[in-house]
Amino acid sequence: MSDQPILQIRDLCKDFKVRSAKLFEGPKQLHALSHVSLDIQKGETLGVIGESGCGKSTLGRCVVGLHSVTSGDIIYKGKNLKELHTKEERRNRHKNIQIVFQDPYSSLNPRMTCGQLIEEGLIVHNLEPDKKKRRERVFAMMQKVGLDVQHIERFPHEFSGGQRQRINVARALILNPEIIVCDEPVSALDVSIQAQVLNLFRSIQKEFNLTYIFISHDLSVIKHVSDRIAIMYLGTVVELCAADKIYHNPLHPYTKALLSAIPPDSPFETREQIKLEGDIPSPIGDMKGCPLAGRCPYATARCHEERPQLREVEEGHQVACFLMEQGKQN
Amino acid sequence: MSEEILKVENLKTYFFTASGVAKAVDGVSYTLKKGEILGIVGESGSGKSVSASSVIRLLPKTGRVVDGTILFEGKDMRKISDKELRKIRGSDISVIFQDPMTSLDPVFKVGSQMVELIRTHNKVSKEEARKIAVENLALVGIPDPERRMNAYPHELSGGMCQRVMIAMAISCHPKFMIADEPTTALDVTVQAQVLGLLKELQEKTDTAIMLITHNLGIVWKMCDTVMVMYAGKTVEFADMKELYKNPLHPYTWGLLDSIPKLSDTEKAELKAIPGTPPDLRLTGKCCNFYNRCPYATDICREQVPELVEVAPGHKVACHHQNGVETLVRGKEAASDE
Repeated sequence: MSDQPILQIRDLCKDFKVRSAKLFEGPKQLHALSHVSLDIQKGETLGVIGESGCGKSTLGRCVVGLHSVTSGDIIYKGKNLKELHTKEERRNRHKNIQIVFQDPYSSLNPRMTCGQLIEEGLIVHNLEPDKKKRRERVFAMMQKVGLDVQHIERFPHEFSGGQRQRINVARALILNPEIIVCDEPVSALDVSIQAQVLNLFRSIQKEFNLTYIFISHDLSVIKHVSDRIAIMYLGTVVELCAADKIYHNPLHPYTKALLSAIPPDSPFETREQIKLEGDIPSPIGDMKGCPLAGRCPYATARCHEERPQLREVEEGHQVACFLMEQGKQN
Repeated sequence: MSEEILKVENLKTYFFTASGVAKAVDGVSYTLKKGEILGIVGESGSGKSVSASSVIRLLPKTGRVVDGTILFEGKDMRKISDKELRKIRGSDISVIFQDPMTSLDPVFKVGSQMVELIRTHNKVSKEEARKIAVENLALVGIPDPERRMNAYPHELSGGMCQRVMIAMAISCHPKFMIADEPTTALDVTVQAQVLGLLKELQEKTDTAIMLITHNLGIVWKMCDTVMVMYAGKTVEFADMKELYKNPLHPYTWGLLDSIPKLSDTEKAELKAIPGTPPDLRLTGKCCNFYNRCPYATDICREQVPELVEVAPGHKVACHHQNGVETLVRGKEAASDE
C-alpha cells in the first residue's frame, strides 16, 4: 500500500444545472458529488456502493472523462487529468481508463457486428493498422472472454444479455487498459449469468493485473469482488473500509441500515435491524450538515449544522460521522 | 391454516407467435393455503409472471391457457365468465405489479384512482370511498394521506407509489394477492420498508400472497413455501426452510450456489451455472435443464421428468432425485474440474 496510488481523486465535486420549477427563477444546482476523495492502488478493486441517485455512476463517469468535473482533481499516475494539453495525452487517458456500462442491451451499437464492435477501439486509437492482425487480436480477445469465435459476424441482438456483457468487456479489454470502471455490469443479468460474468471479471483481473472501480447497488456482489468498499450517500463517501470489515464491523449508521435492509442469506439468519425512515432527500440546492441527518436515528443538533469529514477510525477504515469522533474521545 | 385457497395443477400457457409456439408455462403445479406466502423464484423467462397472470387471465392476446386446472376457492377459474372474473379481480384477487411508476395512471390523481377501484367493487358513496382510501393510505404508512390523495403519481417517489399500489390492492380486502416482483424497481432500504409492510399486512389480514421474485434473500425473509421454476416448469416445490436445508433439484443447487453471500469469508470463485436457458419454443421433449446440468445422463435427454412428491409437501422434477436420491450435491461438479 506504500506505493503511489494509480488513481487519486481529490475533493471532486460535480454539479448539474437543473431547470427550476418556477417560471422566472434561475437554474438550480444539483450536487451530484461533493468533495469526494479516494485513492485507488494498482491491481485492487474498489467497490462503490449506494442507492440510486447517490452519485456512484457520476463518479465513474468523471473518472473516465464522460463528465467534466466542476472542481477537484483526478490524478492518474501523478498526472492531473485536468491538465492534458496534447491530443496524445488525452488519447492515452482514454485508452488506459475504460468503462463497462450497466445495460448490455443499449450500450452496443445494434448496426455493428460483434467483431466490428470489439475492434473499434483498435481503429480509433490506431493500435493495429494491419487489418489481418487486428482480426487476430479480436479472435484472441473473444476467446479470452468466453465468446464463440464463430459468432464474430453476429449482431448484438443475436446475443443474450450475458454474452453482450462479454462483448462489452472485450471492447474495454482489447485496448490493454490499466483501469476499468465497471458501472453496474451485472445488475441487468440473471443470477446464474451474473455469476459467470463475475467470474470472468475476476479471472481477467488476475491475468492483466487490472484495477477496477466496481460500481453496484448490490452489497453482496460488491463484497464478493472488492478489496475495499466505499459507501456513498447523496454525493459523499460516508464510509471506506476493507471488504470484510463492512460486514463484521460497519460503523456509519447508513452502512448499518444498508446492511440490515439487505435480504438475508438464509432463513435462519438474524440481523440487527436499523430502519431509516423516509426517502433520500433531494440533492438539489444547498446542503447543510450531514446528508443523513434527517433520517438518522442518532442525529444530534450538530449533525444538522456541520458536515462530518471522512476520518480514519482504525487502520484502513474511514468514516464520516460525528458519532465516531465522540466515541474516540470518550 | 390448512384451507386451500388456490390450487393449480399442470398449468400450461402457450404463446402463439409468428415464429412458433413458445411454451412459457409448461406444467406448473402448486397449492396455496389461506394466510400463506408462496414464493416463486426463477430466472427471467422462466414463466413466473405468466403463471401468475394466467390465474386471473391477464394474458396478452397471443397467450392462451391450453391445459390444466386453476381452482380458486373451489371455482374453476378457466370456466367462469368474464363478468364473474371482473368481480373477482380487484376484490378477491388483487395484483401488485413490478414497476409502480408505470402501473398507476399518470393523468389521474392517486385519490381518484383509489376511489374508482373501491366504488367498482363496493356500493359506497364517493365520500365514503374517499374515507376508506385515506384510511388505507394511512395504513401503508404514507405520511399526510389526506394531502397525498390529491397528488399525481409523478409527484411521488418509487417507494411511495408502491405503497399506493399496496393500499389499492388491500382496499377491497382480497383473499389472495399476487405480488409480481414488487420491490425490483426499488432501492434496498425502501425495499426493506415495503417488504416489512407487506408481511405486516399479511399477518393482520390473513391474506394469501403469491410473491414472485428472482431474489432468494426475499424468499428467506418472507415466504412459507417456495416454488422454483425453470423454462416454464416447476422443478421444485417445498416448504421454505425445507428447501434451504434440503434442496433436491440440481437447478436449485445451482441457483443457491451462484449467489454471492454477504456472510462469505473467503473469496472463492462463484459456482456459476454454465450455459444459458433454453429457447422456449424448443422445450418439452426432454428435461429442460439437461444441457446445463452437470449430472445429466441419457434418460434426461430422452424423457421429461415428472413432478414427484418425495416427502410430504416436497415435490421435485428430476429423473435422479425422485424417491431415491441418487445425486450428491457438488460431487459431479468437483470431479469436473
